[in-house]
Amino acid sequence: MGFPQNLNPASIKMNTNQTVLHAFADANLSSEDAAAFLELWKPISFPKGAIMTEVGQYEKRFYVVLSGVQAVYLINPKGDRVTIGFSFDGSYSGIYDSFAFGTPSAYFLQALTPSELVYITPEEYHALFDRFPGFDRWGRIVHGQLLMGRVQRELELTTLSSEERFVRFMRRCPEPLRQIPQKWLASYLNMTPETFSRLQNSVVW
Amino acid sequence: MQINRPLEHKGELCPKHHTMARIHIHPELQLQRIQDLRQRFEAVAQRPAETLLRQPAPKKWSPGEIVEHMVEAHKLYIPKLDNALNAAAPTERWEALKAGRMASFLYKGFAPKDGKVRYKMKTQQVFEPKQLPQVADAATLDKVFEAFRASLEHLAQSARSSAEKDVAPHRFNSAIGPVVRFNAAEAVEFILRHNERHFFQLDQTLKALGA
Repeated sequence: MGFPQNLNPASIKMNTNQTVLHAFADANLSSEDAAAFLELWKPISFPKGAIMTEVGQYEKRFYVVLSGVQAVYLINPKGDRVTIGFSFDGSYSGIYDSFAFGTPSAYFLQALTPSELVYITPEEYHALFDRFPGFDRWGRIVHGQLLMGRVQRELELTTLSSEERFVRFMRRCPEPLRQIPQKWLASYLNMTPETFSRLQNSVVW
Repeated sequence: MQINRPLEHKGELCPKHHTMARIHIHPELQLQRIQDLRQRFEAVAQRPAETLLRQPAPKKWSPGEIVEHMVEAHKLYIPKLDNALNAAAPTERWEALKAGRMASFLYKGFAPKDGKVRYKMKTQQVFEPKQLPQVADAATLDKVFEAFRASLEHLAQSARSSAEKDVAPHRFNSAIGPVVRFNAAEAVEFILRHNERHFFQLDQTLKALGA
């Protein structure tokens, strides 16, 4: 799951409705449509460490994160965790391909901190595109951003040194991610926790 | 004294004379591997029944019989796993668990090497396929395949439950008897590696059948 960088109301305390509407700003919802749209969202919370979705399960929720940090990951044959991405305050969350296409999840989604989210179901999500005219625009923009984010990440992982990856990531790293254990960030950057720690102590970004 | 001898030497099981690291059991990796087996199985199940019921050579199992063997091998562990997991106290583990020395020794022998299955053993009669050798038809094959899907689901539930419970104190005899005792996580790993070994055999069999 990619996480659009512009969804970061970090310095603003938004209530749930504002957070959700901000996440879907590109849908240009009218006031009337916004009210109906907000009715769909249901609250849910997970304690720290909870596995929200497992490999093999079908993702039944598309989330907007109100608070907390979640990680998408899997385990490689050597037993090491491979972190695919994170979600945090104001971003979307969930195993999107399983949710959208009804296929079993190939990843785990875990709450790294106590997490408060709101969600809609696959049926409600798919109905949005027929029900609200602006959702095609939202879909076009968000999926483009997701694709660009994944391509950028692939380029960084395959062409940059560990120090370069570290510097680029830390310059754009949102505040919530700086609070989670470093082993998760190290895994995301495809380096050992020891390398991450060494770079953190030696490199200025 | 360290002696490296192959397992089949004089039929001995002697892990204490082997230098080896104990295997770490990762519950998430178990669930990933079970999901991989599900997907591989569904690809196998798409083949025509006629292919899946055919033996590649006399006294060799058909693909359907290989699947039925996996079902029979899992059956013995169902009550053992359920009882051990029901007795175990909940934890917040979801961390890797270090398997015992004997279990680690057995696991290492399961994996094929250089494209060949190692340490072949005669199947105990209780684990022989029973239905398909008697009635090799599509209806029986369907029943066997449904039973295998159910066994994978039970295995996944057991893996998940093992990850969330203190399984170490609750050990039970393996299919071999009291010589080898497992906790629930070790038993799941054993069944999983057994299945992965037979999926290797399944691939070889389908190749031999030209499927």
